[in-house]
Amino acid sequence: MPSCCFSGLASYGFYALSGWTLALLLLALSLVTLLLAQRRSLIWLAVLANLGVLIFFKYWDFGLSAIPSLNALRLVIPLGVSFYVFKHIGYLLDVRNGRTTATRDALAFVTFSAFLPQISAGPISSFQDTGTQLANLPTNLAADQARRGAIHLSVGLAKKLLIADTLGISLTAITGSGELAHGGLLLSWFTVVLFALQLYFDFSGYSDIALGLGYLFGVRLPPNFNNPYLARTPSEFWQRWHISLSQWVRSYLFMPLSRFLLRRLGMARSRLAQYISNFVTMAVMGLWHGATAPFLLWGLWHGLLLNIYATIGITVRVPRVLLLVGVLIGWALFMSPDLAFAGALLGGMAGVNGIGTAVFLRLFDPFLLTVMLLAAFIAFSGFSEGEDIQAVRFPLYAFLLGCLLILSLLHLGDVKPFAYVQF
Amino acid sequence: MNSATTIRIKLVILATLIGFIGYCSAQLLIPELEVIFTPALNITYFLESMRRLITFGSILFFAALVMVATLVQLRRHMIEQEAETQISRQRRMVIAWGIGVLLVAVPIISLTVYIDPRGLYESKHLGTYSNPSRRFKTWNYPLLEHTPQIVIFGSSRAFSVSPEHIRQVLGVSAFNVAIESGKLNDFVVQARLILEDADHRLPEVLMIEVTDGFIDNFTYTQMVAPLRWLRYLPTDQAVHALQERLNALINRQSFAEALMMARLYLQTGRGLNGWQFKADGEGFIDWTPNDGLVLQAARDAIPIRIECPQMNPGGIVAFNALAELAAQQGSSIVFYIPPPHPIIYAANIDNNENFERCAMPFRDFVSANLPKYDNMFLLDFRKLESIGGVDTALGYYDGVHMTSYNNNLLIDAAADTLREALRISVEKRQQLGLSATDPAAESAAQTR
Repeated sequence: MPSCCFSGLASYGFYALSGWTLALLLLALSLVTLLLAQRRSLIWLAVLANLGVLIFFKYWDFGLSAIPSLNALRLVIPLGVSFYVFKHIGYLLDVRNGRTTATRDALAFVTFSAFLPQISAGPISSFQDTGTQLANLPTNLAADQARRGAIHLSVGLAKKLLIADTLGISLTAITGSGELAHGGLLLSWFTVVLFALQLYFDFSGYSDIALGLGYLFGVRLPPNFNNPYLARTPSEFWQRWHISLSQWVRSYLFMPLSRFLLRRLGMARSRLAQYISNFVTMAVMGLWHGATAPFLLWGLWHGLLLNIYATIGITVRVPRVLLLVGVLIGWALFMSPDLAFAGALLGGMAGVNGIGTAVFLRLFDPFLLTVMLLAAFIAFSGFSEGEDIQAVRFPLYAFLLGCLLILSLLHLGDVKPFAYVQF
Repeated sequence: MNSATTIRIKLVILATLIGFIGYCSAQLLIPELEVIFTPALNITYFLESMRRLITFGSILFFAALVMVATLVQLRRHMIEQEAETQISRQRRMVIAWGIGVLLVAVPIISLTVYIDPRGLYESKHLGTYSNPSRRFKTWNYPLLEHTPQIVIFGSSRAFSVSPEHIRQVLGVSAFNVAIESGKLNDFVVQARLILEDADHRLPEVLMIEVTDGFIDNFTYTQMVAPLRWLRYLPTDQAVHALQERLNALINRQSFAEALMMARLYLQTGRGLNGWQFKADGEGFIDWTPNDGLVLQAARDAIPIRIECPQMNPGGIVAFNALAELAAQQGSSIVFYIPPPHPIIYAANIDNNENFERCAMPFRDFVSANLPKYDNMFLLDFRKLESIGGVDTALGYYDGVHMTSYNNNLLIDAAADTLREALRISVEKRQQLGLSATDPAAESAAQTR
């Protein structure tokens, strides 16, 4: 049995656990994409089909939320729909732009669509990269890939089970306490920092696990994180945070849009073209996470940050901490379920409710603070990604990482769902 | 600033941060270690401290590994840039990783399985931390030479129903198979297990303690079902039960419980002093005080419900299964609702205006179905006066668990019904051409 066949069966088998009809939908959509990509004139039809599936499943419920009487028509959102649709569209646009040729290897393509390590929450890879590897899988796992897989798994599980979930328990307790609605400066900033760390360790932990599993399947997936909180500028942040999505929107939205606007506005107004492109791209990025006003505002906020830095960053060296503050304000929007919550949280961060020392001390937990310090130490070490860790090549270090894997698995009974699976 | 100065500043910041984290860690770890090693063991504090220690120690370990990687990065010459080409070293690292996995996993799994704090692995070396009754009774019932004439099913509220008292009052043999958190679906499994043993008969009377809210819930069953139960569970529940065992092999909670049990045995040479069981299945506690705090805690825990709940569909399925088994075997079923402490009963009424009218759907369901069955009875002893019990420490361990004193009074109050149930069963078995459960039962029935 070719390895690609095994990978395909394992992937669809895993996906069918979330519902066999959803697995059939994924298979059908990937076959439609594969077939329509053969004819250049039909590529836009395939793009529309994929977008239709994404919009239908992801934004249907949002539309229904305005009409309570239609609650019965709510749909189950297919696992990873945003991710596999973006993989399909990326492939279709690459074929249309001549960056790759349409494949006829159906097995490799349908496996690429549902590839187990990346189906839940990415990373979003291109068919030229992942699909080609799947089509040419070696029969035996190389020692290097086994080593990389093992180390990525150890680091990813430690990030998720030890840190993200420990921080997540406290975050849930704070957000559920209702204190944030009138929280002071201290509690608001503390909560947002907590969220920033929890989200980073959750998603980058997931990404490391995905990369580790990918290696064990014999496939090298693109990394999704590169110590994002060490970035100096917003554009650098987006080259370090959710890299695969950033690259996707850069390649398939920002660049074409910039070129289009430049043609329309002319080189003399290139700065305006850049501003508009940044806003539109980041707004789409926000809406990709969900059709809510806070997500849209989060995207626009990052568009604004990009434009501010594009304007002043050339001449002024902005301290790194200012970007961190900007990113944290963004996370305050990102973590808000609605505008009222976002307003209260941002108000608290601005100090409209005072410092709030009493409330903060009541919710303060030394255990949480120490874990946050350790998490911050790891996040700011510049060596927090699986790719960084695997650069240390001592057998003793690998031995200790093996120990870490079991220590992490001890916490599997308390595991929470990955944050990005909902997107 | 030149690069050497920058590195020095970074190292100073790093050292300061590590020192501060170390100070905070010590402030956290020392009290937890004191709790763990203090001579007077407090189970709740021990488990909480152990869980925090495992988590915090693991995070510290992870941070230390990252720090090592960071320091190695500062000494770049220690990173082998050409290592990709050294296949033998890659293999050595994979093997070292595997050894690390095994070196931590094997002791944890071994300790968890050997001590078996939740009784999941049928390890009989030490007592369990929780649910001793499911294992004890699953092992002990098959040791009976004959099927007893009355078997008591139920939750921990029925633990202290005394088979010996039943023998004294009614002159028939009895056994108590009540299990902690016992529910109707558990009783169906237990009844099927009983049919496997001895003379393949159900007892003449199934005396079943029921409490609304305890009708069916597979979650707990699948967590703790003894292995012998699995073949009688629905397939998905049996799979879950096996998954629970697999998950508990490497699990922070079960590992902490195993360590706690190990410490207890090392310190005292014995297990926990909770419910203990006699050979006939009767349970007793020799330490729990009936103080006001226990009652207050139980009273405060009562949820406020104002709606009228529906009978659970799973409960109806289990009820029908029990009724069918009883009909096939010519057995009678006596359901009974035990009285909670009067303070708890009053709190139920205070918190739920519908309590007396409709908050007990199982009672209402059985009442409505009684006319269909001539071998079925329902005894509603919700009010303590109905059995003439006492509300002091003589009669209650806590808000819901009666001592054998009150349960003996309950048996006295139920005696006439139990006699009638026995008579009907003997008649039905004669009609069905079935022999009595016990060689001595025929003569006992005639004596009655």
